[in-house]
Amino acid sequence: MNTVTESQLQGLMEVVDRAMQTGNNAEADQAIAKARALAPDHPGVLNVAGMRALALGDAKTARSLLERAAELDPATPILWVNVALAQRELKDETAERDALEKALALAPRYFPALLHKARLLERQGKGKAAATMYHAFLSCLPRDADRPPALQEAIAHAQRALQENDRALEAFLEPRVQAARTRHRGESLERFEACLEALLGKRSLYRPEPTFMLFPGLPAIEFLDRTHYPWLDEFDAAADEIRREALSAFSEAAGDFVPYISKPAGAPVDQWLELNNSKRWSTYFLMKNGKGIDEHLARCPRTAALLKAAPLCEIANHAPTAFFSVLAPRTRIPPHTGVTNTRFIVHLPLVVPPGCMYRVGAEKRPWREGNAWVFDDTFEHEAINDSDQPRIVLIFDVWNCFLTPAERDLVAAVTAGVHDFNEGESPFRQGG
Amino acid sequence: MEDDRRILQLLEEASNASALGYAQEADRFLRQAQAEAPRHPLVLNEIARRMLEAGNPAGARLLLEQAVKDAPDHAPLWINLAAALRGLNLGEKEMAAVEKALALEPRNMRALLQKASLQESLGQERAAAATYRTALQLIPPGLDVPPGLRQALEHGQRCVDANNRAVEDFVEARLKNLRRQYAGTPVRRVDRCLGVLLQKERIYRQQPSFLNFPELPSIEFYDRKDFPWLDAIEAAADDIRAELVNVLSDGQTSLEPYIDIPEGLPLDQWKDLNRSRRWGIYYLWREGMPHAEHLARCPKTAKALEAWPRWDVPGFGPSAVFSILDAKTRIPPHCGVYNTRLLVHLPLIVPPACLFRVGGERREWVPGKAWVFDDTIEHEASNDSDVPRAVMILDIWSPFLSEVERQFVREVIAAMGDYYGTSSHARGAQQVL
Repeated sequence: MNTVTESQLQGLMEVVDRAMQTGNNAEADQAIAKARALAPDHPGVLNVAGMRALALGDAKTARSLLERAAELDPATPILWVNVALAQRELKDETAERDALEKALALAPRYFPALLHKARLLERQGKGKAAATMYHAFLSCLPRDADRPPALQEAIAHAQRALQENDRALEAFLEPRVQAARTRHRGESLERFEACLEALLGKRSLYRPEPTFMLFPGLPAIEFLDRTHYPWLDEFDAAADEIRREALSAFSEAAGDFVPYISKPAGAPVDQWLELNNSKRWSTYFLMKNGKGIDEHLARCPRTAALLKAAPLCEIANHAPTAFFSVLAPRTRIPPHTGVTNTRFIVHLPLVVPPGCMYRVGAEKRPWREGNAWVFDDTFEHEAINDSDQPRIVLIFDVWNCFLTPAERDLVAAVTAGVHDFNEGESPFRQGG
Repeated sequence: MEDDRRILQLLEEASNASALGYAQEADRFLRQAQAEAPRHPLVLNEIARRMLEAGNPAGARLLLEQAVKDAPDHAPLWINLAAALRGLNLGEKEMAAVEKALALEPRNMRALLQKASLQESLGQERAAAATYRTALQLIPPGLDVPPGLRQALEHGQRCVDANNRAVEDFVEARLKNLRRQYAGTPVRRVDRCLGVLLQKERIYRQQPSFLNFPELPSIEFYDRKDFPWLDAIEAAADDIRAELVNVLSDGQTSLEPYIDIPEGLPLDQWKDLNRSRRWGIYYLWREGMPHAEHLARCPKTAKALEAWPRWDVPGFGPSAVFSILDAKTRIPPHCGVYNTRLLVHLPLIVPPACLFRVGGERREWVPGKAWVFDDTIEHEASNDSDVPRAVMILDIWSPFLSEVERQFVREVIAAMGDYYGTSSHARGAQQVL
């Protein structure tokens, strides 16, 4: 029995694993002893023997075994991490750090080494450096790796450490930023505040994700500045009249309100299961895909006149669409994204019971009756009516204010062209 | 229920045995299942499947029509029925069966592929392309396609590609008048919008590794017209180049490595260039401070830089540097640190076989012609020639920040540096993570 095969040793190591898992320590030790007798200088065997010694609390023996393993097979990062674990038990922080650096020099994204380095820094009271390293650890985790409970715990701890660091950083920044805020009282600082919140891990950054057409190079803004659309003042001023027309249609022509979501058979329904073909989210169309609904416009003359005079997004057979949108009590429109960022959406809130919520990207805003806003619906957005009354909003399409006239013209031609090519429904309104 | 489980188990054993090549054993399990539940839909399905394999679609159809009657909510039965109907050339009935399967499972890959190929055979190329597109979008990026589907998916991709070209021709024909009308107007963004729609290109966006300022547009290269002060710097390009050549006459020792990051950080894309002078830098301004000695050595460059509106963030910016990329050297794709800053390139020495890409745009450096780009959009550079390439790089503010916003950004960046006790996010751990 002079020649030992790798598979023989592998077999013995498996015996050790199984025995340890079932708590059969004697069997594990026996197998280790046998393997060591067969192959005294095998790094894998030395590693298993070292980790067993470490588990038994004999860190000194563990260190010499693990160091020997790493010397014999210096290109395997885990062996260096295990050396670091033994050094940790022996409280030799310099040697622990050296071993971890060796592992990281071999594999800079090796997450166990990053984790142990972060822990070492944390033990040494270097909270900021530890936070940076925990961030590296979290960034280098494989995406779909098995996450045993110990790793999950480490992830949770790393996240807490990052949060604590973010809060400390926030406290550190606050007086300095506050001084600057005082200097610029009254100025528009929303973008900066969003930037700061993102930096401090308090805000996710969303971006346009249109389902049909993405126009590049545009600013990505959830709620647009009203100054781009000064003519909306007239809609605000007429809100009471528009509301009267909406309520009168709602009470006298309820049958003309149709489900907003109506997926063709066979199309994935996904998050729309509850609202598909349901009047819990219903609409009364004044204009649909560029065409006025004469009967409905005649019923709502004031709204019709305002829409007629407004510079809407006009694309023959596609836009604008304008409608009263009624969200039934206790109803939620799930998060979704719109069709194209070449168009923005106007909301003129008409009936807003308490308990409503609206979110676009990272921004939540309350609807206020008679106060129109313009938003980019290709950011993920959602709406909730948690009240006992319906919520009613006038909705219509306007152009993205950052497109030049030439760009609008061409976008209109492309949209119409794609539609004609596909001989299908308008890509601008896909039932949701 | 108990029976059902038993039958399912027998069928699974049969399929396992068959997969391992034990045909007789598989037959035995199937016969057993048949004996116990001769009309069970899944038993019928398995027998029909074998008939299909043996070239008997008519027999398979009879069994499957019975099976779907008893188990109408089981999509695989409808798909096999559709396969049988295809064998019998009954296109309309086949489509009805496929639609049933898709109504039950809208993302069923086999059903989508079958529907697409049927649409193709019916001459509905555009509809087929749309269905193929849906099928292809179901495959997560990076996933290996199962070998059984590879051929169909490759064919689907060709079909989608051909359709995209057809859409392009169709739409371009419609755009002809508009393009003539706007011949003098830049409509590059529209062209890229179309490119994305037709799957010819992808959109790249800002990915700053450190400070992400929201609501800014992602623009690879800015319009040179918006930076008229560059005229003066371009006008001095020959003088600047002469001073650079003089600096380089000292050899590489006058340069510092562009990349200088500590070991042990997960930034291994920089392994080759870290602390290497193969990408060397000569500071004229360094992180907010003029480099007096270097500026004195390059007086004409110093004079030209008076026209430069600086990204002034004390302790961090601006920098103005000569960036020297050695022969046969490549800067890997990466994203910059702050999207509040843009970079100017003034190319000085440009051998042939150099490449610069920012996001979806490749541009050639032309000596003396400056450009402004956003380095937080993934970019890369390479010099495949036998001599070094040199450009001057300057930090400037993104034009989309107000003066007030700039003041806040300065304060935050400086405070972050104080908090971490480092003056360099650009070369520290924050980068690229």
